[in-house]
Amino acid sequence: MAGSTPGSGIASVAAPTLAGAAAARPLRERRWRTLRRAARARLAPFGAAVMLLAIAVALLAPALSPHDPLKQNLNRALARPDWTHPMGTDNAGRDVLSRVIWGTRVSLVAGFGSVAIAVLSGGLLGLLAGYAGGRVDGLVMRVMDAVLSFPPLVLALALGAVLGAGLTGVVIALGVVYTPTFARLMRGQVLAITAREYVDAARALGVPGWRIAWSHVLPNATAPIVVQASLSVAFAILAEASLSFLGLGVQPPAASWGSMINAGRGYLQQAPWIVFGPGATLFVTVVGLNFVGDAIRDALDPRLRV
Amino acid sequence: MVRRHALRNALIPVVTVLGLQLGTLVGGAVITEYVFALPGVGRLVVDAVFARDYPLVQGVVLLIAAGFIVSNLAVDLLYGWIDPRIRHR
Repeated sequence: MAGSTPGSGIASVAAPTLAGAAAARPLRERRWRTLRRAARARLAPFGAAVMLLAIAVALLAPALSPHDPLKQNLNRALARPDWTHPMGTDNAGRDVLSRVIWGTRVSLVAGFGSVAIAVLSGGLLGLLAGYAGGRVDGLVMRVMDAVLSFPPLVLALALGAVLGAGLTGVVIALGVVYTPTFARLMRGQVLAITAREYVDAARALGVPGWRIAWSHVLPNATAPIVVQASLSVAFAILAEASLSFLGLGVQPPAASWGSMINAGRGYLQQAPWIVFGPGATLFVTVVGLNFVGDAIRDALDPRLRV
Repeated sequence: MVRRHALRNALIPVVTVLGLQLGTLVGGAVITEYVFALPGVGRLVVDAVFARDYPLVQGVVLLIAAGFIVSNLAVDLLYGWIDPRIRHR
């Protein structure tokens, strides 16, 4: 994709005309940078399109799905993809495409819901820790370190066990898992911002502490939080699929991409389309959301541009 | 010369990622063990979750977290060995 950009052609023609090898080197580096930028410029709209499409599909699921996602038709079980069932049917004769469409709701609710919980709780905890300092800071951050010491999926699994299987449990569990990241990020931002002159000025004017934190520190600390949040949504969707795959997410017969992949796993030889539909959708959605996250990061912090 | 001067300095970020990756690896192993029916701790914790065997869940999660912390400690100690200029206070 990137190799077909016009920049590469111009650069490779220009390269031999340069006399020394030393002069050719920066040109090569420049060519790579152009290639990367071109690739990224094309990927961001693709990511945004995927994200908007996923949101539209989730909202319009009842209108878009060609069949009832739960209706079984054992006469048409494990049917190949055709015009009536574009993604085939599963072992109970349910339409895979309709189930993928309804599963989009589950994935997006899990992705955006858990990240929203993490941003709110992590942001507030980080603000509290960074602004209050001292013992509060120590206590909050040690608790966050304790949460960070668990591998994410294992912690989500354990929390899911306590909260019970179901979408609510998964959303809360993933929210807790992602909270420390945002708490740390927010604390770092708050520490950097409270050292600025305008905070000193506000303090000298007698503005109450909570008001400085709310209207002077918080708005200036949001940029990295937004970046981290946009990247976390993709990971959260993947994590929800993993948990559903293990059987902790939405319970059957309701459809979720992860649980569909798990259910179709046993039929991989006879009917690979059961796994292919949700698998490909999951892949495209996560890749698209990652592109969006990268684009937001580049737009907000040009120094991080790779 | 390469091994002594280049490798040592290049190794530090690699070792950092190595330590962090280990935690992700254990998390990923849960899925892998489930798919390939391997009798590991990952599968044990999944089975314990569905059997509502909370003490077992706690124990396995504690074990995995302890392993993660030990591996991160090992990484911190490795820094000192790779680059003697790094001294812990």
